[in-house]
Amino acid sequence: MKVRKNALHYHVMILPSLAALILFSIVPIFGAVIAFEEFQPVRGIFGSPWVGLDHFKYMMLLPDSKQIFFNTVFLAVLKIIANLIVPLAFALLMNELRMKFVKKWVQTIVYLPHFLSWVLLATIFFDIFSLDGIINRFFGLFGAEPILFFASNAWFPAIIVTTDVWKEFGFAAIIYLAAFAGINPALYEAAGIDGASRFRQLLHVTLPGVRTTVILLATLALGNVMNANFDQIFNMYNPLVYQSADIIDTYVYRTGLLSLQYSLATAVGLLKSVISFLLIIVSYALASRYANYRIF
Amino acid sequence: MKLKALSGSMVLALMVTACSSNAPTSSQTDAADSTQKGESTQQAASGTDLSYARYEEPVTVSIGWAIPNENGQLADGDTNDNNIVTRYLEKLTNIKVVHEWEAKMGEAFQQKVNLSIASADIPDAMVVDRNQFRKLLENDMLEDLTAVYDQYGSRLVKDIYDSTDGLALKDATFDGKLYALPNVAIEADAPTLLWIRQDWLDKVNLPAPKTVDDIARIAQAFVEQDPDGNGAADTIGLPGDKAVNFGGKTQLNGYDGIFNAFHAFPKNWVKGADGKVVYGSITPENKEALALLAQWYKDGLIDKEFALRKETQETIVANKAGMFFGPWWAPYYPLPDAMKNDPKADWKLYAAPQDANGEFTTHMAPVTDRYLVVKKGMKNPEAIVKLLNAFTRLERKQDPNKADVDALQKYREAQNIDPRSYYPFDLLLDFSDALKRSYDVLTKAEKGEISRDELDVQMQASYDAIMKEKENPKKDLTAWARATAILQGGAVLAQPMNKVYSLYYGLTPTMETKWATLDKLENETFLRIIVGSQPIGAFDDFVKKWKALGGDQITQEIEQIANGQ
Repeated sequence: MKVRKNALHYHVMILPSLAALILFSIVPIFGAVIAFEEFQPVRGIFGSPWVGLDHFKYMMLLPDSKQIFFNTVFLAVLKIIANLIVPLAFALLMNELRMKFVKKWVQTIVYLPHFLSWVLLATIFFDIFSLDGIINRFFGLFGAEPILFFASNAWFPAIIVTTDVWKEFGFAAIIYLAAFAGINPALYEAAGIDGASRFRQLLHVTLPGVRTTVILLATLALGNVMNANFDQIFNMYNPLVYQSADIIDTYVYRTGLLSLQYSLATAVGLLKSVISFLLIIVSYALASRYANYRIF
Repeated sequence: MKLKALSGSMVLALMVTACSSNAPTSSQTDAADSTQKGESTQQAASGTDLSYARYEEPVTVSIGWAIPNENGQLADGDTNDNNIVTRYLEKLTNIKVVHEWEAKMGEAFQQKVNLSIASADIPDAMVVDRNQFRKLLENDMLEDLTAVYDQYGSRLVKDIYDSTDGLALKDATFDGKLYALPNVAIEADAPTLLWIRQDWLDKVNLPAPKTVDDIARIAQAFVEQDPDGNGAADTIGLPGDKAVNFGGKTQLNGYDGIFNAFHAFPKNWVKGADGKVVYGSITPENKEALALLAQWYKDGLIDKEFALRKETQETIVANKAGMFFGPWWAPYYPLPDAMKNDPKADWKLYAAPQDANGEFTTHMAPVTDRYLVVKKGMKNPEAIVKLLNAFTRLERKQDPNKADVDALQKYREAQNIDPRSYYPFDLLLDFSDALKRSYDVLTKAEKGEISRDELDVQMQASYDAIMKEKENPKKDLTAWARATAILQGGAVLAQPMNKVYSLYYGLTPTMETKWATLDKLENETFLRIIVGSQPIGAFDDFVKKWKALGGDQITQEIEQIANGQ
């Protein structure tokens, strides 16, 4: 590739961030080699004995492995779906709202939670869902027995997904609202002249207008199938719901950093990265095919 | 939180050992106890035996040294490796101690030790932890100390090691050879005891608990009879911790006491009925304990949300719980916070529940967790033993060189530093029954049988706290904490109890890779059985799984180790 002289300074400006990227994201990749060693910190990466695929085999034997892979994919897929549909529905409702003032206010308020940290939210949700929290008190009015939501493997995934959606839908809706703004108003006028109702307009003008955006977001989300959000789950789970909420990232954290089993944790993490990488390639191929999305 | 509790316990352990450091001297005034100890003191003081003999020619040893966290500073001109303490020890022994490297006590020191092991470049001597000790052994980097310890170990040092019934030395012995001089920690930290609010107990009109059933009755009364009298049903019976059991040194809200009462010893390695080594968490007795706890949870006697609590002491501090399992040092933490919120609280300590035979049974903690090791091939390994002799005698207030000891005491007061921090090794030897000793001395002092002047500085401080508490109960919570912990803890732990030691405390090679998984399985199963999300039958599945996932292999390794000694 030929670098034009007048673009040179731009490339120089990229250098620092490129260096940071290489130093902090590319170089550590080679550390993944300890997944194939019996890593002993005192001997270092080069001195530790090579054990090949032992850790991967052991991982397959662990009853936890299936569970954490399942949990990760299950929670991530639920979140991906919910995070596509809820913001879209919300954006459609907002789009029909004609009172500018209300619209702006609502939009600002629902997108605030995006900026709150899970450390804080976990505590708040813990209180809301506790035995004498709002939820249990409300259902208590109808005579329902209080439920320990955070200790229930049936409820916990639902709580994880809804709280995640609650936190993010306002923010995600912005993209749709932008997409709506890009639809040619002439189409609505034409539909209106043809006698289409508001609902018909929504169905035949608005939705087709944002179809590519939806497809694009959906395919790009594929790359996240192995990411169920460490921050959220780490702050909200407890040993009682490991069965339904322990995901790869939390497992790697506990094994690697707390139990000092560096190699096993790296092996699990590496497997996750490899799968994620394949999924990203697939999603990119799909996105470029169906939504005309190109990086290069 | 756990970290906080842990470091809390360490600080307290230090305080108590400090408090009790005068115990041997004071016991000399006690005719009944003085014969053996008196003799040993005399022998130690005579200085004729090899243990305190001064080298004719100066000897040099290199060490790795831990920089202490001190409030004060050394006097001008003094340095870490040349100060009043090092000069005194050098004068005494003619051993020149060179700090090959220094690192801040704690994590930095551990890293430095790891690094020196990794680079196979260790100093002549240093203090390491259990796993580092094992690494050094595996790599054959340690000198055999059996002979030099026999020959040069002082009476005092040997007495202290003997006070553990040989457990401390056994811990550092492999293939019949002694490879390290271990520390001796106090054993009072191990048993899980029961703290109860006497004022609540009186209110619900129940006697002090002995059995598990008594505890259940009290828990039920605390839940149902509004012991705090605020008109709301907001009190709980028994708090818990999501760890369920702690195994070694106990922490707040562990259920170890219940398990021990059934003669189940989770997280310890014990001899089974067939004489073979078995992991304490998989014996059938655990099932009984779990069934009971599950029943209690179902009946609402145990805090419904205990597994979800971020801070295990929440309910205690908020005075929602009037009964909890914990260590003797709970008056230091977290009870002062609870007292601040409700000064009426009158906490009493019990050794409960008892087992079916009416005995209080408890697992114990390792007597030792640090090791003074000597590099293989070092020319004068006896020099290390001599250093240990010298500073242990000084620390235990048995040093006969009064002028030097006084000078050290003056220096200590002037500079606000503890001479102990400047010993070559951070390896405290104390009688493992230090709490009992300090309790014995202080109760005598309380009755006036020993005058305050006969006590040493730290013991005097404890004495003052007790007196202050007597005159003005609960006015000064620091005094309350110290008095309550020593008097109640000492009294309860002085009662006879059935002590069970684990056969092994370290990690085996298989444990290094598989223990985390097994541990998680155990914790998850126990928790879920207690809260009822799994039936009690899940325990049998757990045992099978545990064995299959490496437990059997580890048991074999432990069996070999246990039989090898």
